Amino acid sequence: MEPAGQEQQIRFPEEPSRALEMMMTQYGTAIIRTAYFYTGDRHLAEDISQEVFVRAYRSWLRFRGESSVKTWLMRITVNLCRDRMQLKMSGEEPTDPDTLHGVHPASAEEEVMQRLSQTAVLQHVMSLPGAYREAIYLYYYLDMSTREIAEAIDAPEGTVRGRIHRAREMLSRRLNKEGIER
Amino acid sequence: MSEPEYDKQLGKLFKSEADERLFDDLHFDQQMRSRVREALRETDSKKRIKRPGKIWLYSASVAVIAATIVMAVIGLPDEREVTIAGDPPIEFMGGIEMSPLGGDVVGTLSATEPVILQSYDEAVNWFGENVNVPSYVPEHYKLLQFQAYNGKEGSAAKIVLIYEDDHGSRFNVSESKIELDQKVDEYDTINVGGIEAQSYQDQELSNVEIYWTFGSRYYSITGSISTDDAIQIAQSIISK
Repeated sequence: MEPAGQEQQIRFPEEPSRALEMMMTQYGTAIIRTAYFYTGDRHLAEDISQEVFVRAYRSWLRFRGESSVKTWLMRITVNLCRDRMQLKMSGEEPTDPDTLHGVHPASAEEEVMQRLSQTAVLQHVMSLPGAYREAIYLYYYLDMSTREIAEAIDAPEGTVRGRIHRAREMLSRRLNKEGIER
Repeated sequence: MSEPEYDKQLGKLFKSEADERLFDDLHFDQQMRSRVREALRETDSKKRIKRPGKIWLYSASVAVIAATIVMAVIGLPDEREVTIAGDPPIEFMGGIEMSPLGGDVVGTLSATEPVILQSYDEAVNWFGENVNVPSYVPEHYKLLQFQAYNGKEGSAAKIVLIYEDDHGSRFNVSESKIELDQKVDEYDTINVGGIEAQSYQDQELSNVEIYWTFGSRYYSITGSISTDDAIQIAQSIISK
């Protein structure tokens, strides 16, 4: 299953404000979109992405490069989204995924689902249980490897692989029903 | 369709649908960048504001009243006219450019914690000598603030002027009594107004650095400007 994509080797400046500018340029849009993907709320996504960069700036001198900058920023983003949404998606492995609630609260979900009415794959991804949806998004949309996802969501890599595998099977079944066959 | 092909198609389809339907107009634009900078400025400002105790409050009140009376009697002092390109106004109170650990209001300076200054006169007071400032800066750049490093009032080792344009691009002009820390190993040697200078351009970051020495002073221009602009700014300092 490895790898979805390799992050380009980007050299970031040591000086925090210059690093901040570069992080915002490189990953700003990915972060605000990720926050929106998690929350379904544009204003909240803006607040979260702002907070991500404020935290990253404050912590830059302590960042030791144990993960890539992208993974580090995504970890901050995911944690902030979870805090704000009061969810513990990845801490619990779904036992009956089809019956579990998703990430979004009702109103936000309505907004998102309205946008999806004419899509095929996206609509099914968004209707997956939260932990599966998260894994699919990070893997396919952000091109993160399973190891990077594991670091970002603080879960074992095997768990991430399992989630992607099961999510793909679920998607495949649902798409087959609509005549989109593999 | 094979497993890898299916996987690739699935990812491609998901990505394009997400871009088109979910994130079509969602970008981390200039406004968002400004929000981040503003948030940093606000938190920096909050850190610097210290509540005075009651005794200090009374003392300050008495001092203000006394100063008011004195000024009413003898009149206001003449203001020094110092022309600095891009000056004024100085509205920025934070200092994200050079103060990763936050600024300090008073006291002795460390190498990394600057004091944020409000005017050229303050910069001169902290530096203990005249500060050479550029008479030219590119259009649209405004002087944001002065910062003092390393020392205390009257003996700061370095003064930094920070300029910013409407889009948040910045450059710094530094004058120092001690040798400046150059960031990279390989520089080009250029001639600026008859003085040998070291220059470096990072294409990826659109970042320029120019260092030179004049008399006992060390100077640098660093930030998001073109090399040509940086050279012109340097010349405007050197030609003074």
